[in-house]
Amino acid sequence: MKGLRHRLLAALVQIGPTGILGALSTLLLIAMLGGIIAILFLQGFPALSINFIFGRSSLEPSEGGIFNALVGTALLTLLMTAAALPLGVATGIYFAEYAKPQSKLTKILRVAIESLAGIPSVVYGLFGLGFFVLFVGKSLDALLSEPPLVVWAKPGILWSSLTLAVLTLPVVIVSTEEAIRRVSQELRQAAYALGATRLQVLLWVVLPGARAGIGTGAVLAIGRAAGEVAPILFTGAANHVAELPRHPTDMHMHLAYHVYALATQSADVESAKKLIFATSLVLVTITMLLTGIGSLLRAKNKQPENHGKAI
Amino acid sequence: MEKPFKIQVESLSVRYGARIALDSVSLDIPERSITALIGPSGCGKSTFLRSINRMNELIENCRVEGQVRLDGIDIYHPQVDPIEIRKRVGMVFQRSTCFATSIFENVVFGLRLRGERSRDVLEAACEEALRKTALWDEVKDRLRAPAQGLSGGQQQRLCIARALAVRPEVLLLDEPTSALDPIATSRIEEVIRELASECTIVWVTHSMQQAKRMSDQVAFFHMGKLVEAGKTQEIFESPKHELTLNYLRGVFG
Ligand SMILES: Nc1ncnc2c1ncn2[C@@H]1O[C@H](COP(=O)(O)OP(=O)(O)O)[C@@H](O)[C@H]1O
Ligand SMILES: [Mg+2]
Repeated sequence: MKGLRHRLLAALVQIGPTGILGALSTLLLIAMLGGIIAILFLQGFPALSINFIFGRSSLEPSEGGIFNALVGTALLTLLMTAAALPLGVATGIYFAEYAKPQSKLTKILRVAIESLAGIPSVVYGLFGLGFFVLFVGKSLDALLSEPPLVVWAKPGILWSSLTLAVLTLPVVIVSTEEAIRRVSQELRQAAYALGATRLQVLLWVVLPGARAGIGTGAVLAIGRAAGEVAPILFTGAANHVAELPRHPTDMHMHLAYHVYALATQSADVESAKKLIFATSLVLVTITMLLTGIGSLLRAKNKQPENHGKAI
Repeated sequence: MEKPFKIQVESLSVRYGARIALDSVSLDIPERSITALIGPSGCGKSTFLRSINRMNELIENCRVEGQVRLDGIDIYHPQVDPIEIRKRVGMVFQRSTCFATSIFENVVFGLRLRGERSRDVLEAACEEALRKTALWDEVKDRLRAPAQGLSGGQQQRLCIARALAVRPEVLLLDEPTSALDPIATSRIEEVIRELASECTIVWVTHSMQQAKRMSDQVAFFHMGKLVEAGKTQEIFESPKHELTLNYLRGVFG
């Protein structure tokens, strides 16, 4: 008994104060995460039903289901991915493979991308409003109709997904670049030595080697963007849209925004409360699924490669 | 009769920025023979190898001067495509560099680069290359399995097979056995001995025993200079140069 206590003490001393603090804060984090999920589950799960999930939205947020918001979130995420992924991956490839590290342009671009990642998401929302809705939208209207009608110069799912795409872009770029840099120089050399051209090395060796890393970064970025409200607030999301979006200029509903609407716009506070938890539970499940897939991919990725292992 | 020279290197100097890695090296390499390059680390052996297949060009700020002739033609002539040279001159590195694909895809990589599509051609070439490297019996039932599942020695033989599948005229080996155990090493030595009957081999090795056992010709490098080169037996039994003698003594003793 005494020996055990002694050993425990010795272990604590060995870990040291930083180690103990680290362990405590980790425990605290896990407890908080567990708490949030437990509350969401306890309060939200009873309100889940087929009618709730597949029910159309109603003008009074506390009545009707979340189907419009669910479809809106999914469409938004898809469009956002379609825009951010090709551009982000291409830019990442450019940085890793083609950009001259010492050139001024490269340095400026790099600083720009890094600062982009640190901007609060509501600023993206304002940017989206100013750039996509007011500038691009207005220009499109002026080009496409005479006299100008307001078709594009108003919030819509195209603008909100492009705004989200801008938010996601830096993460995709950086993770693509890192994944590409992780492909060993020796493998590239081997391909060159077999007579591969630069493009062949990129397409046949580098990209296949980086695929898992690129995918991981993308899934994590998409998971994060799927739960963001601020960027879509002024650019395409609405409290209540009776129809599902059919046109790029249509406004749409969104799960996270729906939570906000339930909390602030509802007449029936009591029944809204249950729905807030239920809607949050659905949203958190989706983003956690995405993040979970991303983390799993990353863990799989991190396993030591045995390229050229000896014996 | 003496064999004709496959590779003729004349006053080759290579520098990385301001650092001189090779200083006016001249060496003739006979066809279908094994030439061993020996010398202390950093003396320029790898640089010399990379000059023969123009891999140095991939290193920024690397400058090559002098001539390297392959079958009498200067490979640094402006009209010569480095890709073509690398297709004729294969290379195997110190650490095995298998791609993260199947055994089969690794072997036929070079053929695919050349646009070969025919399944029959690819399969025949794969079998031939694997037989030459004594791998065929070990892997013939799992050609679709990931190459990374093979042992270190097998991976290195796979890299040799990959280089052989495109039937190179010259094979450059940069310490291919230095990370392997004695058994894996001796298998690779057997494989290379066989290969010498069909291609010209330039082999960097740290093992004097290996150089002595395996090569027809030895070239000793020291600090970027070729100190002396000659028939293996002559170099080992009666080196002309003091440095060579000391190096051989140091390594052996
Ligand atoms: N990529 C490179 N950049 C700069 N210097 C290099 C590079 N590769 C080799 N060197 C230098 O050139 C010299 C010869 O190197 P190397 O050919 O690798 O020698 P060895 O293979 O005999 O050990 C060394 O001094 C080394 O530091
Ligand atoms: Mg070397």
